[in-house]
Amino acid sequence: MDLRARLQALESHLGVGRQRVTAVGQPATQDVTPLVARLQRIARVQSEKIAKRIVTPKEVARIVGGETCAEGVVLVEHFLPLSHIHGRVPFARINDASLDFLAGGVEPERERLLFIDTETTGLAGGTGTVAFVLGLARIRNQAIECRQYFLTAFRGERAMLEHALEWIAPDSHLVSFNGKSFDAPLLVTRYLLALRRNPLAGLAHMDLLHRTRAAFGRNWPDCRLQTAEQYLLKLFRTDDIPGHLIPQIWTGWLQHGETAGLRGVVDHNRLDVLSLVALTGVLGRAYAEPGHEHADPLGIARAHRRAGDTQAACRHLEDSGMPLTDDAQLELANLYARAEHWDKAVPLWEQLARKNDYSAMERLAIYHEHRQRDFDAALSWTERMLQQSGQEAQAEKRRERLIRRGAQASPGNSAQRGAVNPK
Amino acid sequence: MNELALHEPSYALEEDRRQAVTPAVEASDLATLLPAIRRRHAGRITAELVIPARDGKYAEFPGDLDPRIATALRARGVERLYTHQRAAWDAVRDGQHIVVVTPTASGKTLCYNLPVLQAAIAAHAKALYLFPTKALAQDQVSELMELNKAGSLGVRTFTFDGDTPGDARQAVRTRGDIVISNPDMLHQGILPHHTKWAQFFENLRFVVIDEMHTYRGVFGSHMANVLRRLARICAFYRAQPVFVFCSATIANPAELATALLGRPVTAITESGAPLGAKHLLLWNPPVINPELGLRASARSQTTRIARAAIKSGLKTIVFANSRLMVEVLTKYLKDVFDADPRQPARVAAYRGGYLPTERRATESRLRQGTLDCVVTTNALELGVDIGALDVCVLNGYPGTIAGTWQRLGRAGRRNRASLGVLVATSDALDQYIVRNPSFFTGASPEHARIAPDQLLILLDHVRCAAFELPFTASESFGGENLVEMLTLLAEQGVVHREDSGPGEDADARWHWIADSYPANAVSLRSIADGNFVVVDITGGGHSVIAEVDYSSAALTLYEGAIYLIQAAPWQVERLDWKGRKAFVTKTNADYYTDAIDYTKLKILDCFEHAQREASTCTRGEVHVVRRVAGYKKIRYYTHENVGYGPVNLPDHEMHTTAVWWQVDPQALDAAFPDRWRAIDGFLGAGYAMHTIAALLTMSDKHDLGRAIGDAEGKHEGEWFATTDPKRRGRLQPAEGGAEGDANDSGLAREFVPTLFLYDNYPGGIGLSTPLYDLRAQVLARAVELVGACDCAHGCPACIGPVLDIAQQIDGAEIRSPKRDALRVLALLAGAHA
Repeated sequence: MDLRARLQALESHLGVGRQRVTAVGQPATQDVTPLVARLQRIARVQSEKIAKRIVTPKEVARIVGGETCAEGVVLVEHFLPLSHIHGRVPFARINDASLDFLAGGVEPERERLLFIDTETTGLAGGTGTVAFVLGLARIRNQAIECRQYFLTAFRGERAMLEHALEWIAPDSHLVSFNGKSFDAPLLVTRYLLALRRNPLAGLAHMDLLHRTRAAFGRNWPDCRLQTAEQYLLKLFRTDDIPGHLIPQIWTGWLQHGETAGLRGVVDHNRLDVLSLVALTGVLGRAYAEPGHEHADPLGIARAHRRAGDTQAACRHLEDSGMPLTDDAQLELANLYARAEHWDKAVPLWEQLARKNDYSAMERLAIYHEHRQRDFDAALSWTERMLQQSGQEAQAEKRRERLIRRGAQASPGNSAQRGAVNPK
Repeated sequence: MNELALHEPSYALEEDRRQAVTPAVEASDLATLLPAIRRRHAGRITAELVIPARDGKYAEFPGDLDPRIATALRARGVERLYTHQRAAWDAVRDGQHIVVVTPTASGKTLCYNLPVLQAAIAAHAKALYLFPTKALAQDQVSELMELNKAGSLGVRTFTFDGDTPGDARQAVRTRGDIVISNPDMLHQGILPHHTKWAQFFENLRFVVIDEMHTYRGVFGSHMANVLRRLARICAFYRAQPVFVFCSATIANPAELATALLGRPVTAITESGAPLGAKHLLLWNPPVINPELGLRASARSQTTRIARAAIKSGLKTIVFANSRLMVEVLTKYLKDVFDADPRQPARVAAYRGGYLPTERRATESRLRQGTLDCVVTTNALELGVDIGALDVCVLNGYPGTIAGTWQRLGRAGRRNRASLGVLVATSDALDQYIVRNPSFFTGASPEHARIAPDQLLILLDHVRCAAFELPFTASESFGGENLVEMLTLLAEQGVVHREDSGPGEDADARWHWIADSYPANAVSLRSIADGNFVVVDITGGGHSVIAEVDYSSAALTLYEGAIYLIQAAPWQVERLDWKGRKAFVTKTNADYYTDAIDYTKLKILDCFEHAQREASTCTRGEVHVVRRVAGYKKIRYYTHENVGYGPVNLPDHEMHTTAVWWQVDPQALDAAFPDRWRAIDGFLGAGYAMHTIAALLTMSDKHDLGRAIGDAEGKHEGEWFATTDPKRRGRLQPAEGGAEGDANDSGLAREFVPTLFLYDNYPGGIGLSTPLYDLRAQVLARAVELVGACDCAHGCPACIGPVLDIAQQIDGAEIRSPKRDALRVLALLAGAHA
């Protein structure tokens, strides 16, 4: 009678799709019944004895292509000249491109950029998820330096995190793909758990995912890093390990000493990190040069506008060399209005309004009411708005106000408009 | 509770007149109403209790109380403290964990708010408040904010629950001095992300757990484990918070708090708050069918009493036990008082499901006294400030004595005489309670129990804890061997053991490695998170209309079942057992369905045994199999059987612990003319004992299972008894053969009927031990329950529903199931039959 048996009997009542327990336990005869036996009596317990193959640290280091740098950590280092071409893009692109927009307004020193990507035991987040590969890259002396830490055991985590502090400086500028919501918080958790400090606090961080999505999301099936590689870097991975298999490759190693796939995980992570470098150059140009890589001018213009740069926003819409969608035209018209270029804004709005664009009509109504004080024109746009469904209440309010104002301005019109007492 | 006395009605009136503390103006209305009620309804009042007014006992503000807090208190009209508030302050400042058990409206919250505010101001100390529900948390925030404002204390209070928007969470974590949350959020949202709360935990000095009495049974057992996890996290951040528990009156507050926390807790039970005189009437609706013991509905009585109170100009609160009943009672009262739509409403309903703005508006009208009556569920039981009310009517027993007192506390808050009326429904427990005023005069009979080491619950939380921080071999977690539990989890592949030395346990650490978030798979409110949802697919729709817990799903949601929601019938078209869904359509069936189920118990082990004159009582481990074999269609009113259907569902099996009773075969033969009757007696006795057992162990009736069966010798488990739709005992052969009755040949040989009350959770939740310890009380009170019932031969209020008595005539003698049940109870209790 053991814990397993107790659990088994217990869970048979809970279990979805679990089998009925047929054997009923006998009364315990021993003085101390093992926990597993007692559990088995009340629930169905599944477990397996684990056989583990012993692999020496040296052998693992060799397999993943690095050196043991502390107990439980293998360090994999690579140096690639900036002239190296990743897919079809040279790393050097990052020096040619202007990154000030991506970096939040200031052109960053390239040596401060720290490219970062992790491989983890899962996506659940929280304190129970571990980063067992930490990949970093930086630019030094016309070359990319890449360091990857691979944990061969949990006890190496502390050493890995300490070692990585050599590269994580107070003025580091992180570059990641979805790192703001995933890698960075995860690493912060690991640092707090292991070292009780958070070296990432306050670091600048460019998350390329958001920039990629704004510039290209509309035209791609999805916005994963590998999709960006294919479209922008023309990098097509071969024999790459699918991301969802990565956690189990590592737990297979921990539990059974299984080494197959370890090298693949480290290679996968390195490709990710290096793609960040190449992608940064391409994205930098896409946000600086209208039409670069056929980036979506509307997405880019909006990003610039939100960052407060109306001029750049206009430039991307005007000079993209691509036909503008209605949304993009409206954005452009609104940008003109913001700069008070009414001569450019109004015809664009009118053109859109002819296609029954509600926002354009509203803009025109506002323009005529407040700027031109032409209440008749404003009223006529408002009435057209009212023919559109959806936001009647607001348009109705505007209409009533216009009728009132119109009547005050020229009482003669009110009779013909009909509705309102001049008061 | 000791000052509380039981009075004869006439004497109580005198008592009332002599109450000096009661302001004359206020008393006059009550003084008119009470005698009128007594005169008209003497037969319905089973008891009247008077709690005399009591002066407050006060203590000065502590000398070291921050002057800003003192200012805030004075601004809110508090010039000094009640003695219990001061006692709490002193104990907490001394570093003791405390549990405060004082009545509703005794200023319990200041017991913890004062030390918490003081420490927040003086030392930037943080506090975590846990309330069982979100609504209570909201009320706390507003109270703290008012204090904070009154004293310009600069203390920031935030709630953190499922409704807290993502972008506000960061601020709560880093800037909140007092964070108000609930156990589920702590379990799923805070502990698994404790690093985000690092700053908060490092400065955590107080944990406040209000409504402690709700943490009992399964919920309490989970809570104790959540607190074990909290303790690990606090230790990680080197915090040693003081725990302050608050509870309604139960028999064992210190014991429960100590069990929850795993460390000693000091109880503060002497309230210093003043109390207005309080009259409590226990009210039983009149019998309208004496044969069946049918009584008038509680609803009609409640309406009548509330009507009289409102007409006398008394502010009235009515509590109902369901949202539906709130609506029904509100309608009845509105029909009387709010007939004129031009006048502002005098009656309002208040319950969960209403918009917050609507609820706030009702609260404010209550405080201003512009509303004459509010009808509510437990939503208004606590916390929310609604000012002074005069009369509190409870439509049905709220389920616990503690809950009854909390609701009654809503009337008479501010030092004036008040009236409470508990109106019994026909439910057995209600009937028992209103016949036993001693429940309200003596010490609380309710023992709240938990079983934190229940293996399945414990193992669930070891998983969650391993996710939060790796385990080391030197740690312990609960009463079981941690290494053994972790070894099992390692074999299941969710944790990984790593040794720094060569395989010594002492150096081992266990790390979480699974790609999952274990807290999401553990619900604190159940053992298995396997609730079924009922999906309405009438007319191609797809909407969830009800939720049914796992244990009753097999009995109510089989294909073909008529599932009733508020008496409207729905038919189950399809049951997706694995997906936990039942698809139903609306129907007009004139019948309902009753599952044919039987429960078979096999005794595995005996732990304790007590012998009486003609009976034995045993506690031990049992294996329970419950099978639903089919169902019957029963026509409304006539109770004709109009059809059968098969049910094909997996057996419900579990190991658990139970208490069982048996009668000496010779004594049994001597007491009953035939075995048929003996079985009827056992069925009735079991029903009554089940009711009492649930009351004494402070559990819900479905927390305990009941079965009557054969459990002796080599024929063990040969048959089990059930009641059929005609309310006669039927026997089920255990192996699923044909039904038989008690005189069948198989029973000729040995006859040892056994009455089981078992803990209805896999592995047990610790109910069998107290049940065994209270066995004498269970029997004595069951005798009282059945003996004092006004029915002739049995009714749902004592031994369970029985058939029209005309059909009980067996030859010349009337078979009285009630008498048979009393005979069995007498045999069990040990006296000669």
